[in-house]
Amino acid sequence: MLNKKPILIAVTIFVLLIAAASLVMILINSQKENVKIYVAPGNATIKLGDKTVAADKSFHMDPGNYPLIISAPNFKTIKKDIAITNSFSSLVYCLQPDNMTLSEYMNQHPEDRYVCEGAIGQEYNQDAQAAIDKYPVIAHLPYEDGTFKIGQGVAPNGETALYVHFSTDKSKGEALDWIKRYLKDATPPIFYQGDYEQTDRIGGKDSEIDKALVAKYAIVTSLPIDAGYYKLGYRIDESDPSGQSIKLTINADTAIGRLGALRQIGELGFKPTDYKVEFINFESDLQ
Amino acid sequence: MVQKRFIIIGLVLFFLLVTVLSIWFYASQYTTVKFTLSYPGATADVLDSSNNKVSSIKNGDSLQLKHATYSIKFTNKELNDQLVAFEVKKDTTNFTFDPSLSSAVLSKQLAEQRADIMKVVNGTVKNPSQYVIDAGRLYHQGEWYTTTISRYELSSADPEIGNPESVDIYYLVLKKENGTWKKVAGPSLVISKPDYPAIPDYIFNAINPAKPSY
Repeated sequence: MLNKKPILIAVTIFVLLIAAASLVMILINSQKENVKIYVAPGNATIKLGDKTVAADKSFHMDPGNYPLIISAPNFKTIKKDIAITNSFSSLVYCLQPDNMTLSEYMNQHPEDRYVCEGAIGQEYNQDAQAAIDKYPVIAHLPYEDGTFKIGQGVAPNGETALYVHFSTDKSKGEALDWIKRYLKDATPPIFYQGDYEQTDRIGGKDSEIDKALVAKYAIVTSLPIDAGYYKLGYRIDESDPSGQSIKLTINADTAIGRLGALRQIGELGFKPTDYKVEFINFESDLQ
Repeated sequence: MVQKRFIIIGLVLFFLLVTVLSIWFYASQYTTVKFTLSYPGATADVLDSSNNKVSSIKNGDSLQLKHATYSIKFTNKELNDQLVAFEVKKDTTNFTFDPSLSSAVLSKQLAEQRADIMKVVNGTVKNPSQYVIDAGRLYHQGEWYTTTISRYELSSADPEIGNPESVDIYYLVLKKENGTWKKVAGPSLVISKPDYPAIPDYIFNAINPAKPSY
């Protein structure tokens, strides 16, 4: 006669374990943080549904539609309904100041530029996805070329806008050309600011574009160089439609700086004549 | 008797085989190469790796050469007699050599053509008298010319001396086409190969701003 008791105990324990595990999973999932709200200015009050939530911190909201109210003294209040799902949503809002333009505000509060231009990495919220559908260029932002930078932001009327920071009129035109490459039907408002300081480098050290260029131009692994009296860098040569050619950039306002940069190229084991070279802060006095 | 005949036939076949293989082996070590010398009336000596003369050649001559490294030395007085190495391999059948005139001849030509050249050079600068324009050099067969243009200023530390590093050095390249000197590139701080692919490498070596100017 088989003893049924141990079998029953084992089965019961097994079923209890399964139930407990399921319960834990449900609890974990139900409390999984699924919302994060970035907001500028930092002292803004955020009300989502009947909860007051903190900016820049992840929290959990049950899926559903909620009224969102973001307000701060001397800023226009944002009121809108948003849909929350179980998948993570990053929401980014930049309040419009009452007594100045958004550009002026960002110039006075560079710490908020990060939020207002949407430069928060690759987390997209539903609003952002809708904006991307309308303006595909947004999916490629932020973009920095060495002479200009393009970011996503919010226009004074609350609509999606692009912010172009340029160094020269030429780079302003190049930035617009770059934007046009990725536009579909609609063009977002574009705000220009001539406040870009050249970094003379494309992308980050690990960006895809840099990897491709390193294979073609070994010199880029040694750039940029800031020697104080000159800056030696590189940027995409816009005359090559493939985007796979570079120009070296030499930013020096003295002859000895320019000469130093050229000799530096030689010391790195390269010949300046093998590259297109753009001199910044230089005007030929020959003609 | 029959056995002896077989031995003889066998030996003959063996020697024939050895001979054929030897000829094939010898032939496989040599290649016939044709020489093109792109200068009218050019003659040259072909030298082996020990600089012993193998043969004299002129434009269009062919030589059967063993696979090895050789050099060529132009024997015309007006040509640069610097040795130019080349390697003969199984698949190399043509060599083209494009000699340069000797330094002495190029210098003489430059002196003769200086007035014509300076007309073009001065045309590239608004106030030529304010600049130091180097005498420059001719290259190859006298059809290329490069120079530098700069405005030297006296050193602020010592007004008795100039400070060549306080000024920009512009490079200029001219070419003589159909008997007329024309500007090809510059004056620029850097003349870039990607912008001027038709300019030969020896010109880019001469106008490399990473090395001290001549």
